[in-house]
Amino acid sequence: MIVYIWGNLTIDNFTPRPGKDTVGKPGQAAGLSASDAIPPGRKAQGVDTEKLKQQLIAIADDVSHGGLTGHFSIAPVGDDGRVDMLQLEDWANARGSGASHPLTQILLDAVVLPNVKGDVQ
Amino acid sequence: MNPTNDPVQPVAHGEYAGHVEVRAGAAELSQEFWTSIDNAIQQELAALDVPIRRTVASVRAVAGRTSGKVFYLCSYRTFSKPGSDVDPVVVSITFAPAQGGVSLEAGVTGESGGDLIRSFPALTLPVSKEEVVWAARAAARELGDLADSVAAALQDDSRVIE
Repeated sequence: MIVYIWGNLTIDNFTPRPGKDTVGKPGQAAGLSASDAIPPGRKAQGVDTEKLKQQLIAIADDVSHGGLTGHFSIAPVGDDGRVDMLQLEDWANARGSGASHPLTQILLDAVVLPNVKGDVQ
Repeated sequence: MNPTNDPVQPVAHGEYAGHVEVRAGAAELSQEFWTSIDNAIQQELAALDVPIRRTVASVRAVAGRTSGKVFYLCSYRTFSKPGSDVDPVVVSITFAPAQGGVSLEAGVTGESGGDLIRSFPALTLPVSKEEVVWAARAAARELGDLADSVAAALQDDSRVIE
């Protein structure tokens, strides 16, 4: 499955925001946001979820609990299938440092459709 | 290469079949080569800092680069306003393997929102160091003239990211 991270191929855009992406919402797991579509007039990066490694997965929102249709959270999970918050926070703390966290590179390596524009379903 | 403001057209997956994994076919283009390309691009993009700062005094400029399995290099400079929720602006050039060569795609876009501030048609270059160097410098010079566009986007409060 292809999901789209809106925006650029920058290190920061491929790293969760501490305090924002590290907090789940009703029907939505904590993690880096992705979507199954791209709004017109915008650029995004297509990620093949099959190419994610090291327990990094894309978790679809639970719409029945308030999540958004077509929204995914990309996050590391533990053996129990739940988001590994320690690893997620460690990842997020790398944002703004200029250094690429290993999970950021895994995500960049999973990009199969770089710089896609427009409506793609 | 001229900027386009054409409406963005939907893109079918098949059009991206040219993005193949980076492999030995372009072995001539080594990591050292891409580092030299990044350095050349960053030199040109750094010229944006002064004119942008004239309009946005607090602007922060950060150079960066990434690579992945299906792209050789994304060389970029990110401009942001510290303490502001306005989406940073990324001036970037991406190189990727393409059918018959190397694709070059340059543009100015929102970092997280992906709004297209200025975009250029993608080019396909032959797998030739000389051609890639020449095209990279030319594209970077064109991007280096877009300080007004970057400054305007940084001052556009409608670009606030949630």
